[in-house]
Amino acid sequence: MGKVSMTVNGKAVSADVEPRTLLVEYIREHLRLTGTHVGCDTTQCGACTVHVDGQAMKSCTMLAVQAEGADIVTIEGLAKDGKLHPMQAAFKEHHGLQCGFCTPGMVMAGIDIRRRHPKADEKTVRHELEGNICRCTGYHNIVKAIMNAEV
Amino acid sequence: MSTEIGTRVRRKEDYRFLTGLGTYTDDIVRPGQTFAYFVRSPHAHAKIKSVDTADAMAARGVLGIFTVADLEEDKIGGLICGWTVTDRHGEPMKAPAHPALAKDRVRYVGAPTICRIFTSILRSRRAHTTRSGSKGAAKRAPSRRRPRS
Repeated sequence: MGKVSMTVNGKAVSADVEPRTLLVEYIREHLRLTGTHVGCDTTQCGACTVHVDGQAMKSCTMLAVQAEGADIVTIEGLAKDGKLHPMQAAFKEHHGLQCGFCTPGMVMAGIDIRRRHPKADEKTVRHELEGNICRCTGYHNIVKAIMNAEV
Repeated sequence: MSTEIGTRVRRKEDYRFLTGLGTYTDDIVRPGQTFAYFVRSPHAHAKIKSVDTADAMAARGVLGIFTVADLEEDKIGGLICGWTVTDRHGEPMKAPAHPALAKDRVRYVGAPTICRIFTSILRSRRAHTTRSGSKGAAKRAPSRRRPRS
């Protein structure tokens, strides 16, 4: 077991974890923040995407110990006082979700896309979403939401 | 009623899905909750010569094991066909036996063979991704989860 400390959604957390504990396991099983989903467990689907020091990362791809000292934001950390983050609001407005399983990863990825490409066009957004799989929407409205979010 | 036609209808479920507050089956936690983990066939077609449950019981966190013998003993039938159709002569389609856990033979990669019950989801993953220790059937089966460490 090894001790790991990080900030998750603005709160300092630390725990003894097995060195092989994945960041997503730490988030879901230890912190019980179940908004971050495991869709494929093989780094393909992106449902587990969180922000690590502001950058979108697939949390099933890194170990919890690799996030030592990092500032982590999960889907639960976006809305403030019941008010949706602009990216969340855009998904709602543009009907960018149906079952909602991929949505946390899509929203976290979307924020990072717009951070890096403030005026992202459709082609850019579609290319950037390569690592996030949705099986409901056909992506059309997800792309619209990410492009039009007032971030 | 007519006022709804042509107007946008806001989904009631979006807020919880967008804020990570949805509850999918994987998110449920109940007191004393246990977890089923299926040992699956690594072979496309193979006879099952024997099942060594003693080995499979040895892993940490294992509460129990079910094989097809348990299902039969409890008179739990196989998986049923959702609905049957008739052929052009009106004869019902043939619905072969489909035991929930493999009996005598597996017929595809991933066919469930044994069900192990664990105290925690992490334990179940670890038991199925650790190669050291006992050489149970579970160790030979492919696992859903592969650690990348």
